[in-house]
Amino acid sequence: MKQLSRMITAHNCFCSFLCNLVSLVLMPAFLIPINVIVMRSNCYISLVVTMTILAFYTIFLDYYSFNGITSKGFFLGMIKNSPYTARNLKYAVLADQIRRFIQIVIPPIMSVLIAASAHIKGIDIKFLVFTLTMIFLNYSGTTCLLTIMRNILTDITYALISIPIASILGVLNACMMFLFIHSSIHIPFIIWLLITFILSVMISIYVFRYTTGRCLANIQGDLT
Amino acid sequence: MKKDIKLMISIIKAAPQLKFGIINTMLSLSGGICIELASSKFFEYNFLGLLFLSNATEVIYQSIILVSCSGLGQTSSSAKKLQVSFPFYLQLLINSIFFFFISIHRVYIASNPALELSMKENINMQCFGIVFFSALCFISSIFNILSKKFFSLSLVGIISFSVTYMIVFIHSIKHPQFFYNVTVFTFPTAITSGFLIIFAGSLLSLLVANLLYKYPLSAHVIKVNNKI
Repeated sequence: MKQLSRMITAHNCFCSFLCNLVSLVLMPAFLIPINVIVMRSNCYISLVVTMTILAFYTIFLDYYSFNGITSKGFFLGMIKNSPYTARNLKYAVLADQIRRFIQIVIPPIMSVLIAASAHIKGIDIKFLVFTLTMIFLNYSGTTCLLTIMRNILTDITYALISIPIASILGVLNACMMFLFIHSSIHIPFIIWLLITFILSVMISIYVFRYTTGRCLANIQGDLT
Repeated sequence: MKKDIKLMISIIKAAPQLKFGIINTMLSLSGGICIELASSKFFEYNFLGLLFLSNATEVIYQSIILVSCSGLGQTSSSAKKLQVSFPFYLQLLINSIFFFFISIHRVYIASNPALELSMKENINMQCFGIVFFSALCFISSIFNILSKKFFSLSLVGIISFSVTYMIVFIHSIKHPQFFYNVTVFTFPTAITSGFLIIFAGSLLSLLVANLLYKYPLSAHVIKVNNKI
């Protein structure tokens, strides 16, 4: 419990209250009704559209919060004067990854629950596996892309490079939908869940190590 | 004038993260030229390459504004000129070069009508493309200044603009007759009015930059200058 409160304080040093509010409350409130309405015609397409919008939003949000944390000689301000700088930075990066996972999990799971309670057609075990696969795929994809984009600090360059990069994720989502719908490819669909799960775990561990390592190297270089 | 351009280029060289800006410019330039050259065969992609080409000059204003925040830029005698007048000379020059390249290419396309379009419909459509490019340059040159001062508000603006642009683009693929029925331009009027719109855009951006000179820059824009 003590660790959780420390994590939240460390995370809020970088990410403002408005960012948290928009990402955890307003964005699900905007996306869930759209997702449920489109689900009446086709479940798979509605989930792909929702996850692609979420991926774009996640990459844009990072400019406001954690952008520039890995770039060389970045100014960390008052955080650098604390005696627990290394611990706070590790907590902040860990809390950021947990927050992003929750942010990606809430809209699809809630909309599936609402759709199941309203008896909408086409929700079976295959679709639930597809939902979990999409969550892990988007989490790993956005986390991987953000670490590259955190080195770009100028606004127009960030916007113009991030849009084509984020559209790659949309293409991946659509490809995953075709793999699930078409039974012509003789692969059991449960295998994609395993692959994306292992991918997301590996990427999150690697990104955590890389980000904290780069951050601490910058700070130690300044202090000496 | 020649002295000013030399000064501007020497200032742009000192900008932080210029490498990413040049990569960005090269990507948008190469994408824009490729789509523009391909539009002679596929008339559906008339409007996509124009967006890339109109955004190619944004790196100039961005790098000049980042240098002018530094101590060296603030103490120099031409501190106000840096933000207010210098970048728009270069933007006007480069935008007008792009504009003449596009207008010559559009005249060439109209001389060889493609597919099922008739001669008059094709001419109307290409004229609309020329005026559309100058309107895009007009919007981007003013939006460039506003985004540096009001960052969060301009994000809402760019999202609403991109949604309307997407609707126009999809509409142009599905119903191209909408564009060649409405426009009543011929080539001389389209080219002169287009050039006048680009010129008015740079004049208006001079005025807006002068008005907003004392308003502080947004903290998200000058993030790069915080590096040690």
